[in-house]
Amino acid sequence: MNELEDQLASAFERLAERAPHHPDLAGTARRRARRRQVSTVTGLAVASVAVVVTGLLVVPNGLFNDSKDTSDVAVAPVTPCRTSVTKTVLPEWARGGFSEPEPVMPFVTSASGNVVAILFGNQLSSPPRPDVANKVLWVWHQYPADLNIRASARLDGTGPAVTAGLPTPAGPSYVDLPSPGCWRLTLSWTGGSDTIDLRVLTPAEAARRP
Amino acid sequence: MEFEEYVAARGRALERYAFVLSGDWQRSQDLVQIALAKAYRHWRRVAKAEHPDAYVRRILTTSYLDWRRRRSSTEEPVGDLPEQSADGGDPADQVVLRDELLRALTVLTPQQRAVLVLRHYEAYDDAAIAAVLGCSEGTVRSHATRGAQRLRAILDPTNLQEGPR
Repeated sequence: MNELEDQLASAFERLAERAPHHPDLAGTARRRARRRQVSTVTGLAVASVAVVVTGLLVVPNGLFNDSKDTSDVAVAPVTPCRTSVTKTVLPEWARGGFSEPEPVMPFVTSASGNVVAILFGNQLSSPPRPDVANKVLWVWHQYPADLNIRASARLDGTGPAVTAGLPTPAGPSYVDLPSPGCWRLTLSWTGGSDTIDLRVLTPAEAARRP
Repeated sequence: MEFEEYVAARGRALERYAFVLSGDWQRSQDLVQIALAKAYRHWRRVAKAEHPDAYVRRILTTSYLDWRRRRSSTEEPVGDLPEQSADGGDPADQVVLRDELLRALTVLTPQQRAVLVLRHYEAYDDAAIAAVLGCSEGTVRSHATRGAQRLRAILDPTNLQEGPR
């Protein structure tokens, strides 16, 4: 077996160890099988009725249109930039590269809960410490359909947007922000966005919080 | 063999296989339940088969390929891999390497991934893989070769961007 095949076998085995387990697999499968049979029969009946009703009624255009005009919807107030590094067991879906079944790592979770930033150096610092890099592993629970994800950062969530030096927020990267403080990173892609607040310390502060 | 006995004996292995195949928590559970629900509906016939497990595994694999086919119209696999650390000996690097391998797997076609999972996780030979996928052994070998080439190309450090330090 060559090196890649060894790595594959090992990676698959580690992945399998994290497979979810359903405590009542047989019962759920039985119920699902029965539901499918019932819904097939019911679906046929409903479809027959729908054909008849549609043939008899003419619905005025827009009568059942429930779309809302969102132009006057108030914009939610900006929440203050506030973050704390959690050092605990990573969520199940964020354990991809770890060999331990329940890895304990310092991480920050995005506002939606869909992204975690795992901080290998425990704390971010600006400027970066000479001996500890600002290495971050970005893990997404579900990637958006558009993988052209961009990041911009604002100090305290309201300052001028900074994009220079920011990596693509997916996978391993270095996050070197221009100054200490609470930085709100906005992760944007076509059709969506998310935010994550990162606390950046001075090198001395970061060294005091291992 | 009763349905419950089969699930008690093989259910966990199916869950593991489905998760390695799909890499997705919810989807893997769904795939297992789809396969078992279909098997349950025809259980008398399935139980009489020489290898009931092969039948269930084939349904599960076909469901996975169908799901990926449907999904491919709206989603794309992760393309470019982010920068890799150039320094060695950092414990983070092992995590990163494993993470990269797992993410690199997402760029494979569903057939390539299924072949590699069946070959390197289930230790199936080409004939058994061909039976599960409903294709020829030549096609299995072709998927395996191309899948491995693709992974090597992605994981080759010379193809990765240099880190900032």
